Formats: sequence, C-alpha cells, structure tokens
Amino acid sequence: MRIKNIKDHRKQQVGLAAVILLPVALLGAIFGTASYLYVEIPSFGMDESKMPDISSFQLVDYGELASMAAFYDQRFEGHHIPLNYTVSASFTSTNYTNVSTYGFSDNGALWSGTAIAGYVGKYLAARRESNATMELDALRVIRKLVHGMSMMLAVPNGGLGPGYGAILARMWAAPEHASIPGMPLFNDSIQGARAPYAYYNGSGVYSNWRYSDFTSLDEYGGYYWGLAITYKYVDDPWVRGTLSLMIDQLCSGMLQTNFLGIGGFGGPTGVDQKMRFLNAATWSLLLLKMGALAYPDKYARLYYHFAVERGYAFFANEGGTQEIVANYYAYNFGIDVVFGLLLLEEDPTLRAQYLANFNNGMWSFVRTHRNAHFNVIHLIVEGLGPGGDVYYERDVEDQLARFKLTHYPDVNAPVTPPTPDYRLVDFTVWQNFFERHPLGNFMAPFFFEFELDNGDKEDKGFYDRPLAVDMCKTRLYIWGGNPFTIPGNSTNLLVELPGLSFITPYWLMRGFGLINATGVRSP
Amino acid sequence: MNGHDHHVEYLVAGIGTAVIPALLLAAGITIPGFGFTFELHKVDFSYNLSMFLYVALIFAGVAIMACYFRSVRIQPASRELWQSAGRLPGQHRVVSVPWSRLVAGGLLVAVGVLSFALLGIGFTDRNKIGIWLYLGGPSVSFPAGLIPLITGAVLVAYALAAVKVVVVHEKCGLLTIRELRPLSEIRTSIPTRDIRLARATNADTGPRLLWIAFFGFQVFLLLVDGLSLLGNPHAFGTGYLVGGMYVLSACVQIVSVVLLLFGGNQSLTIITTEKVYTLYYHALPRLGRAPSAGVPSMLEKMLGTAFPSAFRGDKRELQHPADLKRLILGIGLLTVPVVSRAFYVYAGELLWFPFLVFGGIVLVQWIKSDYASGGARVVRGGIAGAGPEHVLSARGRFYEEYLVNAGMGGLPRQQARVDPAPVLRPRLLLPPDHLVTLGVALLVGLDIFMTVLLAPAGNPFSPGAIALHVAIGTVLLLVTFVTSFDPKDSIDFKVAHWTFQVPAAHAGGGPRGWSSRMAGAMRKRPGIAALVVIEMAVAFCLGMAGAFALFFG
Repeated sequence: MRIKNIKDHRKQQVGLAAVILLPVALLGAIFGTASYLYVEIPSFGMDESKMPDISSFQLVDYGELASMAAFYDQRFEGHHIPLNYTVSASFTSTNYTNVSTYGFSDNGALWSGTAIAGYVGKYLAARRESNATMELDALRVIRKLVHGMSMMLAVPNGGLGPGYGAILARMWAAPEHASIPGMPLFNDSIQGARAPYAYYNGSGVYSNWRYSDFTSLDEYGGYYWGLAITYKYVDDPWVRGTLSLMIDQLCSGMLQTNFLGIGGFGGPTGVDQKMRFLNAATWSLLLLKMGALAYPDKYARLYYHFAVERGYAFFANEGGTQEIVANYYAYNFGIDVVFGLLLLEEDPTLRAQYLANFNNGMWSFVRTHRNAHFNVIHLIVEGLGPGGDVYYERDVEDQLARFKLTHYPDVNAPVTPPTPDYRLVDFTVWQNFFERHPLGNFMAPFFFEFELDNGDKEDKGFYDRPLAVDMCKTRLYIWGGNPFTIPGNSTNLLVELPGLSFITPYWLMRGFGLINATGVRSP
Repeated sequence: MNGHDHHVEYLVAGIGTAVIPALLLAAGITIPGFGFTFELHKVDFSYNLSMFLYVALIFAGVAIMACYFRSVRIQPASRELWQSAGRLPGQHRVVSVPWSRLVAGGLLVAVGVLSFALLGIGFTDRNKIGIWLYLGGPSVSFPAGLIPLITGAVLVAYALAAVKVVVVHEKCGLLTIRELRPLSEIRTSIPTRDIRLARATNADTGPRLLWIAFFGFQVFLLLVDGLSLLGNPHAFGTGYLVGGMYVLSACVQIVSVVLLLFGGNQSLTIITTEKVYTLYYHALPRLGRAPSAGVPSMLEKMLGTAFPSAFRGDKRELQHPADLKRLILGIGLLTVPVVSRAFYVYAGELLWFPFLVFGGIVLVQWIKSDYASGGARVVRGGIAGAGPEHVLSARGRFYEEYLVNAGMGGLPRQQARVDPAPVLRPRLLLPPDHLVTLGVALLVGLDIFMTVLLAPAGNPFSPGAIALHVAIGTVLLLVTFVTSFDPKDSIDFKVAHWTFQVPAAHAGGGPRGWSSRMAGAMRKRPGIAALVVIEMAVAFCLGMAGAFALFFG
C-alpha cells in the first residue's frame, strides 16, 4: 500500500524527482568522469607545443627520394608479393637476394590495400609527369595486387560477384603454394600461425584452397580504401571490371548480413560496419558509395538513403583520443575508410560534411603525431596543392628522408635513439586512481586497453612527443604503429619489411602533385 | 504506528546510511579485499566492489529517507495467519501473485540460459559460433541472452517477494486493508467517512511502460540481425544457429513485454480528505472468466456497507465511445521503423528506436483505454450529483475501471468535481502522452531538417526524399495533434490533484461527427488546443535546432 499525504503532494513530487535524478546524476558523474579521462589521459599526444618547428625539417633532395622510391618499388615487387598480396621476407644473407622464408602476416588485406593505394599514387604521378614507362610499372603492380585482393573474396566464397557471399580472407593460398617457405595455411605446426582455429578451406572451385579467417575491421579498412582509390583513378578495363565485381559482391553481401562480417564457420566474427552509437557510419557509406559508382542503378539510391535520409553523413566519424594510448593501429585503418569516402564523394554538401567530420574528429587527434600517412591524407582531402600547407608537406618530406638513416633497406635494424628532450610520460596518478580509488577501480575495465606504463618495464612507456621515423622500429607499415611508445631493442637484419612505409606516402604525395620528382626543397 | 505521523528516525537513519559511503567515496577509500580478480584479453584485473556497495548504500539511504513521507506498519505474519486470513464472513480475500512477472521472468531466464548454453560464454577471438561487437569480443550469447537472463532473474525474485494475501474488511466505520506476506504484514486503516473517491482498475500501466523502452531497442536489433543471418542466401554453419537464437530471444522478449504490460496488474486507489492510498495487487486469473471480472465485486464488497446508496438507485447505461486514433498513431509509429528498415526508405536509426517506443506506448494505451468491443459500456449508479454514486467503465473483455464517488464534502469546491453528465472535452494528457507528443514533434523536426540540409542540390533523389520526409512528418504531426487534442465525451472525476477521465457518451444520442466535435472543443477550449500546438511547435523547433547543430556544429 502506498500512502501519500495530499498536503505533501508537492514535496513528494520533489522527492520523487530527486529519487529519479539521483541515479541519473550518479551515472552522469561516472560517464562524465570516464569521458574526461578518455581525453585527459592521452592529452599529451595532442600537445601542439611539442610539434617540432618547421626550421628543424631538412630541405630534402627530391631526386634522392625518387631513387629511394625506385629501390623500395623494386624490393616490393621482387620479394614481397609472392602471391600478389603483401608479405614480409627473411633472407639468407644481408645481400637480400635469396628469400629463406616469407612472413605471411594476418593483415594481408590491410597492407595490400595500403600498397595498392601507393601504386595508384605512382600511376597518377606517371600520368601527371607523362611517363609511360612508370605508368606501365605502376599498372603492372596494381594488376597483381588487384588479383591478390580479388582472391581474398573469391577463395572463401567460391567466386567473384554478387552471386557469392562476402567473407573476406586475411590471406589465401592454392594447394601448389603449400611449399612456399613460411606458408602457414597448410601447416598447423608453424610457430605463430593461427592454425588450426583460424584457417579454413575455400568454397566451390576453391574448396582445396586455404584461407585465413576471423578477418578484422583492420583488414576491411585497408581493403576498402584500396578498392576505392583504385576504382576512382585507374581506368584499366581489367582492373575496373574486377574491382566492379568485388565491389558488387561486398555491397550485396554486406547488405544481406546487415553489415555483419561473417566467418568461415558461418557466424558473425564481431565485425559490424553499421553506424553504432551515432558513430562509425563511414564503413557502410564508403561501401555503398563504391557500389553507387560501380552500379548506380543498384546502389545509388541506397547510398543516398544511408547518407542523407538516415543521416549517416553526420555520423561518419572514426577514432577517438583514447587510441593514442590504446590500439593506436585503429587510427590507421580508420583514416583509410575516411580517406576513401572523401576521395569518392564529389557532391559539395556531403563532402563538406565528411570533411568537417574528419577535421573535428580523426584529424584533430593525430595532427601532432608526425605521421606521414595521416599528414598525406590531410593534404589530399583538403585539396591542397604545393605550398597549401607547407608545415605538413615538409614534415612528410623530412620523415621520408629519414628512412635513409635506419630503414634503407626496410629491415629490422637498430634505430636512432631519442634526443634528450624526449621525456617519458608519468601515468602514476592514473595507475593509482584505477587501482585504488573506488570510482577508478569501478571504471577500470573500460580502460583495460590503456597502456599506462611509465617506462619502468622493458619496451613499455610513452614519450611526451612523437618519435621521428628513424627512431621507430620498422614494421609492415610504420605509420600504423604508435610513435609515442618506446621502440624496443630487438633487431634482425635478415628480415625485410615490404617498404610500404615509404612507398605509400611518397607516391601519394607525388601522385597528387605535392612533391616533385627532382630538385631540392627550397626553404 | 499511526499512519498520520512522520517519523524523523527514517530521516536520521537514511542520512546516516547514505552519507557515510558518500564520504568514503569522496575520500577515495576502498574496502581492502572486497573484490575479485579476473583476466580480460590476457590482462589480469583486481576488481574491487567497494563502489557497488557504496552506491547501494547511498540508494538504500535515500529509500530509507523516503519512508519519512510514507506511513508503513510492518510486523511479522505467522504462517497460520497467512493461510487463514480473510476467510471470515465480511472479509474479502485476494491472493496476489504477480503471475505475469513470474511467467515473463521465467521465459527470460530460460531464453538467457539457452543462449549461453548453445552459443557459449566468454571473450575470445577463437569463438567459432559467433562473436559480438568486435573481433575478440564477447560471444553472441551476450546480446541474445545476458539482458534477458539478468532481467528475468530479477523479475522472478521480485515477483516471489511480492506474493501476498490482501484482506479487506470494513467494521465500525474503519476500512482495514491488510497485506500479508510470508514474513510481514502491512495493515492500513482508513476511516470510511473520510473517503472521497475509490477507484479500482486493471487498466493502469504506469511505469511499466518503461519495459517497452527497455526491451524495444534490443528486440529490434536482434530481429534485424537475426533475420539477416537467417535470410542471407549464402548462410551456412552457425549463421543459422546465431540467427535463430537472436530471433527466438527477440520473440521471447516481446512475449515478456506483453505479459508485463497486459497481465493481471490491478490497482485500488482510495482518496480521502487527507491522503491517497494505492494498493497494487495481482489477482490470479480464473479459467472461463475475464481477468478483470473481480474488480467491481471487490470494490462493492469493500464499500457496499459504507456507501450503500452508491450501489442502489437507477442504473444509467452510457456508451463507451469507440476511438481508433491512438491505434492509428501507434501502428503508424511502429510501421515507420519496420518499413524503413525492410525497404531502405525514409528514416534511419535516429527515428526507428524512439518511434518503436512511442508506438508501443500509444498502442498499449489504446488497448487499455480506448479499445471498445461489443460488450463495452459505461454504467452509472446512484443519484447523480446528490450523493454517493459509482461508475463502471467496461472496455471490452479485458479491461475495466470502477470509480465510487463517496461525496466531496470536506474538500474545497474547486478541488472536488464530478461531471453529472458526459461533457465534450479534450483528452486528459498524462506524462506518457506528453512524452509521445513531444518526442514525435522533436524527431519529425530533426528528420525533416536533417534531410533538407543534407540533401545534395541537383541530386535526382533529393526532391523525392525531401517530399517524402515532409509528407510523412506532416502526417505524423497531424495525427499526433489530433490524438493529443482529442475531443470526446467523458465524465471527469476530479479530487484534489487527481483527475480521472472516463470516456462515456449518451446511449442512443446519435454519434456526432469527429469534425463537429473537434470544432466544438476548439470553440470551448481554445487554450488547450493552443497549448498542444505550442508544445509540439517547441519540440519541433528543438528538433530543427538539433539538425542545424549537427550540420553546422
């Protein structure tokens, strides 16, 4: 029995409001604190005062950069796409001629998309510079990569086109590739391989082939970007025809699964490319935009529906400040899809919205990182020509030139030690908060991916400003790694990475006219 | 304990209970060892539960403080009393078992357990059944089963704790209501001479409407993902299992919401010159009898001796007017997300989820208040305007409302009023009505201006899209206005701060057209129409401002 005094009616209403507001206020305080910490803890990574002065950037020799690009191109095509998708390679000696084993990474789709974007840049540069030989060189590699990437769809699903499903492989191999040194797909005993849980047989005519499954959003990001930039700029009939089939297959398949990624076991893999929590709408928009360009009758209205009628254009945001200290690589594949969408969208209203999202979101998080990948994308999507944003042009040039110091060739060599002005970030106060304060401990699981190390453990800790590229350990793509973290000491001169860290930003800069083929940067 | 007193000890105890944990929280002090360790993605965590305890204590303190405003009497009840209570002559006994909560809770627990049993538990990227949210994320059993499992368990526990025997008897001018639970008794005595209005109904929904919001969001997501997995022409392997489990979970949650909203909730409200007493109970349904059939007889037994004249005299039969506007609005709001999603037209998630909730609310209100089957009627007894009288509003097979007006003496005239005859007036708007009116207007404003601002000039789809959004938005606004400002004949009972509106029209008086009723109500009460318009206009402008903020922000 509930009893209320009529005289106290107003008081009771106030009391009821207080009882309702109390949990709201508590939850608000908790979420408010968490939101604040998501920005505050990584704020060191957005400190503009730590950006180097432009005068500290070297005045690069463009001819030297071009010769470095030629070297990396030759290494990439010769040793890093044995099955037409990107891998690393180990050599028998430091003359780097005989491969002992290939490093089939589980990011074949991501790095092949990143590679093809670079070669589209080279293709554009060749067109711009009327260099037919260079155009053929670029087109040859593009065709190889398109083949390798198309098989990532064909092998799991049994073929290419909308009549097949849209499972995307991380990598694939035919039975005759089983003997390739380092090939893990047919051999469960290879150290570090994801077998047996992640490798599956293909479908249909590819049922004897193998592919690596549990494909992550990283992979889709690089893959979509590669498809988008290649479809937009490369007019080779075979390339466009193949890409059209791939795009149709992905659009059709993703619409059928409500944008859920499906694994080789038939169930969802956790990949979800729908807009979620008014965020991350870029994925479905990019996919449908590609579809709208390749098959306007099938997908143009759908793209319009998602972008305009559903309002996805407002929510095409990727990334967050927290990725500075947690999963930095997510910036890399997130910006890929943002870039792809900005490249393809030509309507001024929608493009302006996407660009505003980029500048207010992703770019605001990474603009201080000295990351050539992000900086090149900034220059391109802003439509800036030479001299449009000299600081970032010279930052990219300076970083590319620094490859000569420790990454030329792109092997796992010792790196330049940081200068004394680099200081380690002290997270002690946050460590104590999450470990000892009741509110902090309550929220700790939401921050479990934050790497709050003070440098007291080996290879763990953050510098207060980004390392220049010669101070970072190499990797399949340096720009996907965190430039604030301690690089570590391990080296192996026999392991050569594919050189994409130089190839992609360099050729994109040159392809979009932001860097010269010859001459020297003037101050 | 005298029910008229406030008890300061509740305030003291409540403040003590709430302030101590609040101080500990502010000081950042945890209780050592009060927690557990676990591993998430190969990272060890020591998780201390002090925060949960502190928050629980703060809430408990507030609840204790709230007892300052409540008059309660609690004493242990013996087993014998529990079994024999209410069986003496002159006593009325109701066994109250929240069966709808028990059944709904049981179903939810079952589907939760089934989800975890079939789909697995845990966070791993090696899950070969299905992963949710991100690679390496939780098993798909979490969206399918976690919320149903927890909610179902809480519902079952709450329902078991709420089982009680209600005994009502009237003696020597004192109406006594005893609520016997296995371990306690709450006894409330009400002087019958103070009673001004008694109301019994099984049509009140109240805060239970929140179940629609609680379940609506995930039900829609589960259905869309589940049907997509099942309907995918390339589906194979565990796709069928995951899709099937999603759909099953969604269906069970829908059934549970229906049970929670429509199943056996009854309330008795007694308003005296000083207090309002509300008793909630769940009479067990009896086979072959409408669930609501016990309400009038119970009230008559309770008050028949106190107000015999209310149940005598001529019985005047009125019509329960049929009204389809909320049905139309409810179906319209529910149709928008379903059709939008199925055919990729009109709006998206921003409208889908609120419209599902609003549509559900409106539909529930229609079924409980406006629906009129062949047996719908309003019966008025007693001498109108001259003493105690009663009104029974039976809205068909399941729902009815029963009011006994015991006279309005003791209250200022402006605080006590019963219409002697049905009066044409707008619908009495309750908080859920305002929520729907404001929400629809806001979202329509947001949607129309989002579309207009984003629609690329020169794009062949833009004119059609703008026309579609403006047209559907306008229709929704009109239907919402008409539903809110809904002139119809009704008998209003107004006592102090409470108004109860019983839709009723003169039998055989001939139906008046809606337009003439609307015009009449507009003439008589232009202020109310203006208030509804202003309310909707303000919400629409806020939605428009939201669209501009998104565009220029």
